[in-house]
Amino acid sequence: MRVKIVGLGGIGCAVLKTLPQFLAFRFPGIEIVLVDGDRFEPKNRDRQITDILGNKAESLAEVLQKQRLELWFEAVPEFLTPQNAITLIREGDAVFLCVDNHATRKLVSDRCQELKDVILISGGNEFTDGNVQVFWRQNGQNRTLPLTSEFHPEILSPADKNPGEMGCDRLAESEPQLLFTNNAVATVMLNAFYAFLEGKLDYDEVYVDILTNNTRQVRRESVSQ
Amino acid sequence: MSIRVVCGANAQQVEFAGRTVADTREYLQQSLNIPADARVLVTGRAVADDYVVQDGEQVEFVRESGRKG
Repeated sequence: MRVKIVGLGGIGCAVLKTLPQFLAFRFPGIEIVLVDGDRFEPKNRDRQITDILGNKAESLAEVLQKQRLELWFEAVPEFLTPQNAITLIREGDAVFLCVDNHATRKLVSDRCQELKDVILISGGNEFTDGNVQVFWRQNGQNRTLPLTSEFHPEILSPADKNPGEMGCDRLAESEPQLLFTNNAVATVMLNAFYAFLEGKLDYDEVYVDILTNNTRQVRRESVSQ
Repeated sequence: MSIRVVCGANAQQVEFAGRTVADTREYLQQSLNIPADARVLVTGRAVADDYVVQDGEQVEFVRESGRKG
């Protein structure tokens, strides 16, 4: 298994606060690939876990490698595109998708649909709520729904654009986010990963609301193959 | 004559059987923070706003996936 973390903003950084320690204990020597074409800027300091400015994937890989865990970190300083998705998302991967646009969610879900064995855990949030979707393929069969199921037409037909296919000058300003919501979504993503490893993953989606402190897991009836 | 209404992470049991989905949406819009354009599932099946909800059914107003990361 190789672990890929795509998108290193608020949720991705929250995932990286605890995932490496767990992986070092459970899978010593494993490789973690960090993918993001964006850069850490001084204005991001409240949500980032490194003071190093520059490309997010390269900065985080440098910091995490210094922790001397028995892990290897590889930085891919690129946004995901239809071209590089083929080489970056591969058989047997565990993919933590922490991006800020539905176009990339669709791209990665579609790529996973081409693979026989893969686990994709995708998190997204608004200011105080969010959700986590889990797309698990095993032996060429969908064990859970793709991100692009009929229940999420906003991902099936995204209105936004993949930043990898936009010019730098057209990248949108990031909107304000609440760190607590990023952390809550990241925690649910990690819980789903642990349930997968333990053979107890039996849901498609989990909703999170930090104002009511509720989470709700959903197992949908319809499964598109 | 109760139904369960869910939206996102939140759920509420209400005495609302025999009323339409549209009525349910209006009644619980604020307390469950239901988006005006949320799609509706009743016990897992897509229904229109004029569907009359039966006793014991679950109405889900499907929240869109969070966009930001």
